[in-house]
This record gives sequence, structure tokens and C-alpha cells, in this order.
Amino acid sequence: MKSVLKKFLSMFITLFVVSFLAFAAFAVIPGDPALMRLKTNATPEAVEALRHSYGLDRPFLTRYFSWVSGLLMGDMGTSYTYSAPVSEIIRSKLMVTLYLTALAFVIMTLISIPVAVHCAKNDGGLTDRVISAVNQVFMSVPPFFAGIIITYIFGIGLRIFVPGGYVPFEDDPAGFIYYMFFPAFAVAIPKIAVSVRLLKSTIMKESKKDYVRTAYSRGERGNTVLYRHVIWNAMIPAVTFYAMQFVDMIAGSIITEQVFSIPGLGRILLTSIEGRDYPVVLAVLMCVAVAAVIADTVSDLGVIALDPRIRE
Amino acid sequence: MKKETVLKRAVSCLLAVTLTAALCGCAGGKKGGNSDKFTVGIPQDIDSLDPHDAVAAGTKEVLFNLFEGLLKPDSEGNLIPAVAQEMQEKENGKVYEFTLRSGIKFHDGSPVTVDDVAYSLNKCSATGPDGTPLVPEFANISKVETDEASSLITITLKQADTDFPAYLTCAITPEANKDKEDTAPIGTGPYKFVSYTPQDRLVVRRFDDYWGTKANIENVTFKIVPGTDTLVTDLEGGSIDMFARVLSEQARTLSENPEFQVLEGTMNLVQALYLNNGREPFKNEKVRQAICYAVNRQEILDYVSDGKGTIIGSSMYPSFKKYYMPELSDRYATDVEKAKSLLAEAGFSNGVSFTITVPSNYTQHVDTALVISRQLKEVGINAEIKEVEWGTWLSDVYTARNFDATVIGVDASNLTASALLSRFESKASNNFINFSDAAYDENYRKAMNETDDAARTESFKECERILSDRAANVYIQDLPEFVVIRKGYSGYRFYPLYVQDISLISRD
Repeated sequence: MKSVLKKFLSMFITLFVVSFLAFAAFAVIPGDPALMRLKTNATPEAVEALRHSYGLDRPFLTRYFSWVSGLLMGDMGTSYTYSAPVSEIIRSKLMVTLYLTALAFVIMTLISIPVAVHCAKNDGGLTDRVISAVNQVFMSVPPFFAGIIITYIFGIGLRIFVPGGYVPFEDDPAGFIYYMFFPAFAVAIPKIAVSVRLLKSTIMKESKKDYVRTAYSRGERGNTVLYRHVIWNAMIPAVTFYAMQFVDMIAGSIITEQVFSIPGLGRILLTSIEGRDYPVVLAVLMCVAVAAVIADTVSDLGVIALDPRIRE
Repeated sequence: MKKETVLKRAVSCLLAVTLTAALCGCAGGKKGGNSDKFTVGIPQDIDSLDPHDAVAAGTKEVLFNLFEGLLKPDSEGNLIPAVAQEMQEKENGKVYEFTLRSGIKFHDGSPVTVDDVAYSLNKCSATGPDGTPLVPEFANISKVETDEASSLITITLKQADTDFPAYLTCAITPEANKDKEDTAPIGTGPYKFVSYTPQDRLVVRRFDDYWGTKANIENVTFKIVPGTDTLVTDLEGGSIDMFARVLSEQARTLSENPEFQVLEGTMNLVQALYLNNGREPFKNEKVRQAICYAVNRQEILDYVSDGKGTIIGSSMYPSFKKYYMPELSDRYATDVEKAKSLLAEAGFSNGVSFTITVPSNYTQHVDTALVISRQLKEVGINAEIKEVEWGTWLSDVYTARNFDATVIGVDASNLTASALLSRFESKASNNFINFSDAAYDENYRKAMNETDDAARTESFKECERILSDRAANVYIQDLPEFVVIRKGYSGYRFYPLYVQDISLISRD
């Protein structure tokens, strides 16, 4: 119980530090939001008036605390560019990116676990050697590059999907899910490679332990030992690893969105930074930070659930 | 044993689902241009759907299809009647009288009334928190009167201004929709608003009750394609059918693709190496002239855009036929010796050093700066290039005027000569190059107060001549604009302003 409480406390401290650093970073980089909105029509008076209406003429700490207190009440502020509540703007974008990440995560899990088990069982066999060679290549492929290759092969070559043909979920749910499959695959590829390798080695390590020998000596057969004991024990370190991969995949999704012209968090983050739309930028950063902290916390709780030894 | 079968079943299930999805996709993967649907790629998001609030040129060129003013520009650079049927100028440009077009309707089917016109004009002339109206030139309006019975709208100005009609392209919108102008806008243009998803797309449909020539294509989507990296694949893959302002190397790639046609026009801007006249060494006119002589413009065109583009010699581009002076283009023909001797006369025989600040998002300007920097080395000038982000450029260069030189393209917001020339008046708030010349100020003032069109044009031309003679900036070119459209569509026309008129495009 104490460890759970401690976990939540550190979660809040992390978020607080992130929020301050992010806010401070955007206070010091050059570029004025009011000027970005008015562009070449700017006059000193108009800029001043707009800065005032954004509240940018207040001191740094005042701005920071009013922003944080707004956040705590669930108010993320108003976008400079769209003059609309930030929460309204990023909600749909967040769903798109989370969907992409989740889909990539599912693809990664569904492929990596069976492949890793297969490789562990047939260590040194032909398929294992081929897979580890392919893994070596895929591991070093960044998701955006995988995205470009997928676009060329499946989009322009085989015409299985239309590059840039993203449709919003509300317009065409099937089309949306279908289109997202390709970027999700691009995000998943390097992660599949990494996790196959990690899972395989933990399974191999686990199967050399004493309890496995005991199980065999009790007369249990190879597959039963593997599926009933070894895999579950090997999952404990893997859970933490998968949580880290999930956060990594959010970052991967944000980049891959650019390649597939998907209007998710990545695009709004980029255009908002260019347009100095700080309320939006900060909200996106906080969303990613919260997702990272939550994934971390969930993995810790997951390990506690899986491993009775830690529960004490 | 049992668990293995479960696992095997799960894997085969996944494979089956994947394959089905892939097969469905093969059947459903349609290419663009099959139906009466046209998708235009645009490089940035819409900054406001309210035509009066929109500032970005990229937004205005899209909203042109939805809204009209009393008058609107045509592709020749003339102002033609739109919401108004006719215009009468009275008292030498002090009073303008408009007759409302009879039977004209808004997109929701309601008739346009003189009150809606008055509402729109008043909205644009109301002063904002900074004391200037939405349309700054509307500060000159003294009163707007309407007469319902004769459908007349009379605008009286404080001071006569024969350029005033050019500002009346400001959109006419219904007063009844005043709370929803930024979410569900209504206008009188050839297309009406259907839906908008921020960062993604704006969908419009043909307005069948349009007063003029109706649009050809029924459904048009403006799809936001930020960054030019995915542009070529999006066009080739079929998710967009048209894109304006592609880079010259992309134009080259796409012109080799049999599915596309690449049209060439001009960007309608004055690209120059803008010099900070308020700073050494550019305070010295001879230094400015030396740089003008040192630069080889044709070489820049060759390098930046495969030799396309139009060399210009002052702050005016060719689409402004009335004011453009082609004879100024070769005022400073490349002459390295002359450049060197001018530098020596100015006391800089040991060479000059300065920094060219360029916004990194504009490839053409960055490339231009690179070529110039190399050319200047030959006369002993060391020009260092500093690439900055657009936001930094706006604050440091454009507003704070804290720069030596910069390469940028300056465009005109409307069809008047002052749109390009007003900024060089010494006191102008947007005179970012700190140009100051008494003769220029006098000619500019003379032009603005002149009501006779020929004399007025002559004064504006004198202004252009002064900018050229005094070497205010190193004028380079009006950049070429490449528009890519899928084959099978025709009718696209270039405008002298930032406009994409989709209503003219039709399927063959």
C-alpha cells in the first residue's frame, strides 16, 4: 500500500517538474505569439493589444501559476490560433494518436510474443537464425523511414492504400481503421524487433532456472513447462519493458503521422510550435507527459500484480 | 498441448483478419478524380473561417471561393461588380454609390439586403482594441447610408480616394449569421461551406443559386498538407488532385509523371535582398548600388528555379500592368568592376561584411541568399547567411528591424499601387528597411492626393524609379509559381493576387 502511495506522489512531482520546465522553455525561446498571428499586418499597437488579451504582459511566475491552476481545474486555456478552448482542439487529435499508438502496440504484442516463443523453443534453428538476422535490420529502422518504405511499396507500388488518404473516424470508421493499419505497422516494426530479442533472451534465461529442472523431474512435458511456468515468469521483466515501449511508440506515432499526413498530435504540435500557439503546445506536452507517467505507474502496478513477492 | 492450439488459433485469426482487411482495401482503394469530387492540397491551416478575421494569405485564397465583396478581382487584375450590380464614383472619389445586385442570395437561400451590406462594412470599419479597423483603409469611411427601396448603398469618405474601390472586396455576410461566422460561415460566393476539421480539411459544395457563372465541380475539399515532404506521394497516390506553389524540383518530378500537368505562373511578389537602409554600411547609397551591380540575377533564376521567373527592378511586379515598369529590370546589369569601384569610392576598398537573415521555411529565399553570398565574394563582400525560423524573422527582422539584410518576397494585399509602395514612405510603420528619401515621400503623397488617374499613375511610377535609382533594395525577381493539377481537369487561371479560383476548374 505504501509503495502505491509513494508511486502516486512521485508521479505528481514528475508532472510538476515537467510542467515548469516546458513552460519556462517556451518563455525564453524567441518569437511572439501576437506577432505570429498578425504576421506582416502587425503594428506595435495591435501587437501590444493582442499580447494584453493573451495575458502575455503579466510576469512569468503569475502566468505560470495561473496556467497550472487552470490545468488542475481541467482548463487548458484558449488557443491563440483558433480562439477556441485547447481541450476541444486537442481531444480529437489525442484520440487519433492514441488509437495509432494502441494499434501499433497490439500489433507489436501479437507478433512479438509468438515469434519470441518460437525462437526460444528452436534456438539456433534455421527460422531462429533468419529471424534474428531480419531483427537486426528492423531494429535499426526508424519508424518514419519504415513509413516511407511502406508508403512506396503498399501505397504507390501495390496501391493497397491511398497515401495521404486519411479519413476522420466520424466520416468513415472502416476507412479510418484500415488506413491507420499502415502507419501503425510502421511504428511497430522496430519495436517488434527489439521485443522479440528481449523476450527470447528472458525466456531462455528463465528456462535455465532450478524450478524448471524440478518441473521436468516431476515428469511435466516441455511445452507444458514452457507455457505454464516459464512464460509467466519471463513476463515480469517484460511488462516494464512493454510500458516503456508504449511511451516510445507515442513518440514514434507523432513522427510517423507526418509521413502519412495524419492530423494527430504530431501535426498540431508542429504547427503550434511554428505558430507559437503556446497553450496548445503545452497541453500536448502535458498529455504526452501524463501518458508516460501513467504507463510507468501501470507497469509498476502490473509487476506488483504479477509477482507476489513484491506485494508484501 | 492445449495452450499451443489456442496460440496457433490466435495467430491464424490475426492473419485472417489482416488479409481480409488488405483484400477489402484492394477493392475499395479508389483513385482521386473518379467522381465529381476534387481535392485541393493547401500548405497551411485556415486561421479563421470568418472572412473578416482571417489574416493569412493562405486562408484568404481559399475563402475567395466562398465570399464576395461589393466588388471582386478578376484574373486580369480588374475589379468587377459582385454583390453590387454597379458602382458610381461621385465628387472625385469622395462618394461611392452602389446598386445591390437584384435577386442575389446568400448560401442559406435568404436574399442579400442593403442592411447586410451595411452590417458587413460597419463590422470591418469598427475599431479594434488597437484603434485600427479590421480593414485599416476603412478608417477613411465617414458614413454608410442605405436605401432599401432603391437598393442603394452610399459610402461617403472623409477624404477622396480613387483607390477606395479596391478595398471593397471585403466580404458581405448576413447579419443574421453574426454569431456563427467563425463556425458556420455564410457568403455569396460560388461555393458554400459544408464542414471544417481543424488541421485536416475544409469541405465546400457548389452553390446552385449563385448569381454568376456557376462552378463546374460540385464537391471540393481543401485538404491541409503541411510540409512539402509528403506532397508528391499524396499527389501520386491520389489523395489530392491539385496543389499550388510546389517547389521547382517537385514541379520537375511531377511534370515527368503522365498523370499530371504542371502550369506555370508568377507568385506575385517582389523578391529582393532587402537592405537595412538605417544601418552601416547600407546608409551609404554607393554600397547599396555596388551590391546591385555585383549580383547576377539570371544566375539566381537559373539556380533557384531552373531559369523560370521574371527579373524585376523595383517594388512592383508584372501583374500590375498599369504600374509595372519593365525598363527598370536592367537598371543594374551585372558589372563586377563597377561594383568594385563604387565600393572604393564609398571608402570600403578593404571589403564589407554583413549578415543576410533568411527565414528557413522559404526554400527559394534561402537558395537565393546562397547564390547572392557567393556572387558578392567576387567583389570582396563577405555576406554571411543566418537562417532563422519564421517566428524569429517576424519579430527580429520585420518588427524590431534588427538585421543587416534579408531575402524575402513582399506581396500586395489588394490591387492598388500603394499596397506595394506605401511601406517605403519614411514614416510608414511597416517600413522595415528604414528607407528614407524626401523625393520619394513627396511623390508618394502627390500620388495619393491626385484624383486624375494618369497623373497619379505617373507619380507612382516616379516612386518606383526612385527606389531603383537610390538602390533601396537589391531587386531580384517575381518568383515563378508552379501549380500541379491532375490531367483531365482544365480551366485553372492565375490571378494577380493570392487567389485560388476553383469555380473555373472543370473536368474534361
